Amino acid sequence: MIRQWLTLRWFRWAVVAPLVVAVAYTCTTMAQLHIDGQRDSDVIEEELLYLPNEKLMTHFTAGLSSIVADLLWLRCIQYLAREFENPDSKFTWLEHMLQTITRLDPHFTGAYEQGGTLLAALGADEAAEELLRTGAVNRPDRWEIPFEIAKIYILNRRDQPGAQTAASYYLTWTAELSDEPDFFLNWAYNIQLQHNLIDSGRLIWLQVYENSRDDFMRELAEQKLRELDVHEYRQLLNEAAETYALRVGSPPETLADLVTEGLIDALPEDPLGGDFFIDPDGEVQSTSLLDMRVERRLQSIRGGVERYQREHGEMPESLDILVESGTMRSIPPHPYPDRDWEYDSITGEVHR
Amino acid sequence: MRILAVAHNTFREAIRDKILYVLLFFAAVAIFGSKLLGWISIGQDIKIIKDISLAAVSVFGVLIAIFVGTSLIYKEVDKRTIYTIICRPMHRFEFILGKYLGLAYVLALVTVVMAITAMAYVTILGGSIDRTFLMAVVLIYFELLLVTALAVLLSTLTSPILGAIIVFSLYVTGHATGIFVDLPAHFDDTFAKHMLEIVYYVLPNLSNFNIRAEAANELPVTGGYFLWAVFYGVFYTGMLLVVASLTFEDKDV
Repeated sequence: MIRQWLTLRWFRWAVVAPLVVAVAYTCTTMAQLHIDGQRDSDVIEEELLYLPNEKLMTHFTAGLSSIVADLLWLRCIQYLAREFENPDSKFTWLEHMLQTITRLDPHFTGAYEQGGTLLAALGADEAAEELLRTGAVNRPDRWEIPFEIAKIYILNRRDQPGAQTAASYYLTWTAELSDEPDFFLNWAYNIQLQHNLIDSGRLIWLQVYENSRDDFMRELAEQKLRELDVHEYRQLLNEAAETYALRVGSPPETLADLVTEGLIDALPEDPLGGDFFIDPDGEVQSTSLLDMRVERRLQSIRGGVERYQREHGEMPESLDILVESGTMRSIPPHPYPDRDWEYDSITGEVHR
Repeated sequence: MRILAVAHNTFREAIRDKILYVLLFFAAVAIFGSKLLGWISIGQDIKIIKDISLAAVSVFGVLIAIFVGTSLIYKEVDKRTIYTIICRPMHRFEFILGKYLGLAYVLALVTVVMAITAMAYVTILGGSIDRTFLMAVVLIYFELLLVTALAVLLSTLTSPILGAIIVFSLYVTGHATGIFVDLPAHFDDTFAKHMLEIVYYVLPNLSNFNIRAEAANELPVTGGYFLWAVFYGVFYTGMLLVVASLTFEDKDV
């Protein structure tokens, strides 16, 4: 009976073939799931560790280096997405990935622009600025690149002296290249008049949130807007603490003193889940902001230890050796007052 | 006239070749599938689609040139069909040129079809096609013409499989010729450097035809560069065709 059916051409094509394909597809999917489950989760890191020199890749990809850059860009996004989900995320490879991508395709504006934004958002200002400066040389026609540098000064370096002037300079540069020069020139002018750059920062992330088609960038913008809220609350609390000191003659011991004195109605809630406190110098601090700074500085020191170990074949005896050997320019201080980094010279591990 | 007759015949023969349609199918899959990668690219979709589309036009064009080109003359000799042609009042170089032009015509058609598909797709997805993109397509075609001439030359000398391997190796090397001149300073005035420089100028420099990254990033390319690249392609291809004709003149068939 079955043999008879099998002799029919339509039966073979309409029933047997789809059945065989469906069974085979189910089996391959099952096998793939098992293989994925057994594969090391650090596969992206391993790929990057053994990534050949980009000059070699440019020569031996038969003119496809631009495509290799695209594929690496996609890998970079996957890496970022994974690191964002990971509570112990370090983003160790992001800078290296972006450098490789932009060396493979030096005209890849998106990698400069988005990469600069991401590095800056993670607090790696210097790496972000270096990447963007390279971008400005390779893509002198794109306004987005000086604009991203201006954003670093507005968002990350707003408390540094000269940040306003630098931000205005880069916004003026942006205006020269943009189709909307008046908008950027006005912004540059207003920044010069502003006492702090929080409002400009908020405007930037609001624009990213409203205009980005990508969920990843929208989530990042949301996170950054919450961070700016914390900065603003901290600033308001600091102003209240100053008024308290003038009124009472000594700085407040706790933030509750500000409520008691009627300077604020209630203690603001940290949108990032941290707490506000007054440090021994009388400055209001936020644990969420300090924790983020701790992570960034830890990452920088761990990178220095790794570089030292690669160069000298042994762990540095102390963190000061990193400066003495020229591996790092300086060891960033612990952001929390009265705390120091814990370093284990045997394992090379650095703890908060 | 005789050359055109051979070219016409070669064209008809080539468009009947199934491999052409298989490769065109995969090129279309690559072009249309590029959007899938674009989805996860954080706003870089148009750049990635342009990159993949131009690479598809180039890579699949080269595969067609290699697979069809390397068997072009060999098949005629192997199947003895060449006897019906060379007994006619016709020079052998006319036969080679006719064969080459026939395949060049096929490649022109394939390139135009793939490029129009890619341009329509980019436009539908909200991208724009600028002058550099069109220049990139034209330069890809000149690269294909050069590779085809190389394939035809190999087809007069060796079997299709060996020919395909050699042409493919030369294609990869042709994109990496920069390593022959990109030497550290301590090689200055050494014998090795002079030899490598000679190799650099002898091998076809296919990276001259590669402005795909500029096209994907919407960067302008000067008319001067474009014309010099075309000039290089025309003369290198002409040289290969002369060598192929001379080789075939002396070949015992």
